[in-house]
Amino acid sequence: MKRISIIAVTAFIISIAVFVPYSDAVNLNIDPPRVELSIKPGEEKHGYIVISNLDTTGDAAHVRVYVQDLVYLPDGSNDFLPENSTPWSLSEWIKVGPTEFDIPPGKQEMVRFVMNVPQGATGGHYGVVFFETGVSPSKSKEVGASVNIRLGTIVLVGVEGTQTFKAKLKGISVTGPDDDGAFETSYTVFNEGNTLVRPKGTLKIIDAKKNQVDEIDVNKEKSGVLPQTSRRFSQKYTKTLPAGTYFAQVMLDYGGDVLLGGQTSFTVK
Amino acid sequence: MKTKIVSYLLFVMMMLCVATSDAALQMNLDYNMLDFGAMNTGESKEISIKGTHHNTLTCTSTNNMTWYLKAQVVKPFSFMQYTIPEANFKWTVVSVGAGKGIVNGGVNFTFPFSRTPTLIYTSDPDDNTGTAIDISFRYSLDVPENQVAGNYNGTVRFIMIETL
Repeated sequence: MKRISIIAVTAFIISIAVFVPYSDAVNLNIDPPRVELSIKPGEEKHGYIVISNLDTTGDAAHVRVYVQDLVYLPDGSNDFLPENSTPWSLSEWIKVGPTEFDIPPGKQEMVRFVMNVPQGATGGHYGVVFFETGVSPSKSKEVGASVNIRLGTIVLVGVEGTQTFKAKLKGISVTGPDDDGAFETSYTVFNEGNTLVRPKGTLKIIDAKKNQVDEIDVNKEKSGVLPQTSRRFSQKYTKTLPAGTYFAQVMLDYGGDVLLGGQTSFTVK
Repeated sequence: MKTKIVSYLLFVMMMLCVATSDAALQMNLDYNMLDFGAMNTGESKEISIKGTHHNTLTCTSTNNMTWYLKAQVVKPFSFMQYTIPEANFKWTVVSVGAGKGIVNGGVNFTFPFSRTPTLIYTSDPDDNTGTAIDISFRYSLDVPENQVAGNYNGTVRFIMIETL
């Protein structure tokens, strides 16, 4: 009897230790995190995104759904702007619903969207559908903050038959070496077309005798450049090279009619 | 009749796919309260209720695309019309578990919260195939000397999304 009591008390203490800090947990999943559509002008397409509350022990998750525009930042991440604030916005074309709901623990909700491309629309249009947990006020009676989370599905729409792929390489440079002995190769791509391009290719290191000494893939992540914008890409080169003059040669395929190429020289002392 | 049966089967298959849908982009926050308790004016306090850290955000992606995590203040610590400056509220990433990506500023570097989303973590290709990345945080707050006494509450937001 005593042993049972000890076990019961121990189990109770452990349950408190384990569960108290987790009572304010939130666990959400969205699927898919990316929607890519090709639609003719004047036509519409439908789809859905599933949001799941994977927290099986807590309360229902209150979720708000909304659309925002997006832009690139120099660090490669995106920033989000109110609807209709970019030339490539799709916020007037998309309707999502439901836009606010509770998901019980362990359940999911299907959020539908309708994408209606108007006549005369051209090029590529981009945005994000956000799923954000409701802001629960801090329970603190002194100084405290609550934390909410936001997951986004990126939406990319190409208006069929109207996309022009045109880009140019605006500059290439090599700097360094830095404290670790690494060189940094950077190049800027300007997108002259009306749709997102993903310039992917190789960086070749060539010595003064025109022998290729190395070749590495660049933009393996297939990061994009938005229409009528520039984006700087950089790549660290960490291998040790013998002293001498070298050329860094970039060759990129962005999906246009021609490849983009450029080179610059640098010296290893 | 045949068409109806096929449609029904397709519908059932679709529902099954939805029901069993696995992590695509998932964020699990184990504790969403940042409680600094009672503080005096001019006092600085760090919270880490689990010893080394305060809470952990577990980010998972199966989509084979680079994703990143950002943080921002949605509502600064406020009491009536009084506000503690956002820059006095800071986060520190103390560990990233199995993550092979880049921690902005590095592990143990402290960032002030801002209304503008600030980059915390960018995934490595190895992070994009279902590995759960446990990003653990500590938080600190400096209450200014001249701050009016009161119950200050705020809200912060963590954002997870793929790159375009």
